[in-house]
Amino acid sequence: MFRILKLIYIENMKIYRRPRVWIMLAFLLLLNLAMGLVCRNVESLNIQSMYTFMSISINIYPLILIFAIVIASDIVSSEFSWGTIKLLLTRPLKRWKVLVSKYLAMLLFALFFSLVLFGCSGLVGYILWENVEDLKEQLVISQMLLLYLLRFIDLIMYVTLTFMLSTVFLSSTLAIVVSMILFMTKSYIIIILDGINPNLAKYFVYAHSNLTHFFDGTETYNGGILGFSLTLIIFHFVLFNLISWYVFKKRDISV
Amino acid sequence: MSETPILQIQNLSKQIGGKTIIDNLTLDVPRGEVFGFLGPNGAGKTTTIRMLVGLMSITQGKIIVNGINLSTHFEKAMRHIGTIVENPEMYKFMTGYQNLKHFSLMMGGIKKQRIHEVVELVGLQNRIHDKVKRYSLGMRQRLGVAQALLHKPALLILDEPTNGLDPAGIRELRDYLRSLAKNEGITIMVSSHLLTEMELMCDRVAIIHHGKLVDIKLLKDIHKGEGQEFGNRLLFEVDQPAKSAEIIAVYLPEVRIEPTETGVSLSLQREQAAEINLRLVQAGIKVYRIKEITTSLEDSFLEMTRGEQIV
Repeated sequence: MFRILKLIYIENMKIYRRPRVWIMLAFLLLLNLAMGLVCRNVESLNIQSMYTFMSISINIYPLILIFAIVIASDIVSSEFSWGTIKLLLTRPLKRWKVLVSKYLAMLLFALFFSLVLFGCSGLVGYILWENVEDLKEQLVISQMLLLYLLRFIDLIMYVTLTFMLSTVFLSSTLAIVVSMILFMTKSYIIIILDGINPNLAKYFVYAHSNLTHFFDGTETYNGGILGFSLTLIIFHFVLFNLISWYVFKKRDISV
Repeated sequence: MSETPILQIQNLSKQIGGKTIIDNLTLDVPRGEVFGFLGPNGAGKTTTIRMLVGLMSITQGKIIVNGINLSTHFEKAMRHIGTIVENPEMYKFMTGYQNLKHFSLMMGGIKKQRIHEVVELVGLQNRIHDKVKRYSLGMRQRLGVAQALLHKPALLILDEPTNGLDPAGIRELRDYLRSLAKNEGITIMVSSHLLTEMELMCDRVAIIHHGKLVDIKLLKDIHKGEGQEFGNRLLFEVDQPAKSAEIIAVYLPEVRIEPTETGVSLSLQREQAAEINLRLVQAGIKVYRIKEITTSLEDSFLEMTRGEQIV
């Protein structure tokens, strides 16, 4: 267990020693700050408190999803293209440990960025509105955290797919393109599948992965049941990871 | 324990897509030697090495490292092996030191002091905090050796270590590996298709061809050559080879003489060589030079793999 923590640490070392992560982070922070300034200065938006701004800020969560997809797409495949995979896998370590540490490091990255957005939107909101006393604070904060959690579960489903594609095909481009297309055209895919056969759409996991519908009162797809959605999500989560593990474990390294 | 070979390969086979790449290979690598693994391109050297270090699965057979079966106890067995497979690729966006720290954390139980030790051992002290992308190939090679030595392995496995190095770099690496084997007591296994390199570097070579072991030779044996009991094999370069052969045949009827285009070659003792030279000169034959013919590893190698189709 302790070893896995060390492995996650070195994976983080490799993620954050590359400049792109800091560009992503700066971009996220600046975008949120710009949002705050716009919201503050446009009267018609009628935003009155820090909490309203925080809940609006969740709308840029897809940006975090995109960044996480980028990280997930090459955390395995870049080791192959750099040739460093040979050095990683000739350590006295079983292969699954290397893969699991990479997967967890990638999720930690997404978690870190989510917390950054949460914290940043709170801070920007606090500075620009200074109004913290509307509603019952605790309830608002806990609802906000729930919303972030649900978004994070949605994100996990996409990055797990990206991670799997990249591990299987060793192509970060393919992994990014497929995941991004899926994410952006999800609603059209649901419509098409529904047109062919309503059952097809029912079992399409990305019609279920965003669980916020169950909590914010908007309409859920197919009038769904939470238990069914969760089962589908867990099933795909396990399936994607099993495929990654199996392929990674069995692969003959010939780079 | 110390008498058992550091590495035992038993009936090792590898099939990829129904094609046999390695066919029933069995060999032992004795402790403390520089062991060469020689074969033409495509003979299966790299495949074998990749199986030895866990990069490729084993179709059949066993690999035993320091008495530990690699397939069943991978982590334990790999603790004894340090390796560079082909080029030593490192993380270019990190410094040499960060790279070493990275690998030391992966293995666990390696202290900071050990990192400094290996850095000094490979002589990279002055550049260790530079980014690897600024390193020359020779420096990367040294960093590669440093990461392979971090956990004090008993066996160092290097695949084509001289690839891409210039002659000075090759020489440096060769001297370096020899001194590692001698001073640190590490067994070194090197694969290569460069015969002359292997001759200079190794105590023993295994020659493989088409995935099969052709021969294992102590390099002393190869240098002895076939005519050792008669002394050295000499070439007399003369203007009249046929007449020379006759003259020599009269003097030494029991020795096999091979006339060539420019002279005659035969195995002789020291004194006999002088005597023959005298007789040839007295018979009015011009002797341009007398040259010793050494049977090199290259000759043995070509002889062993001659006439076979290289795929």
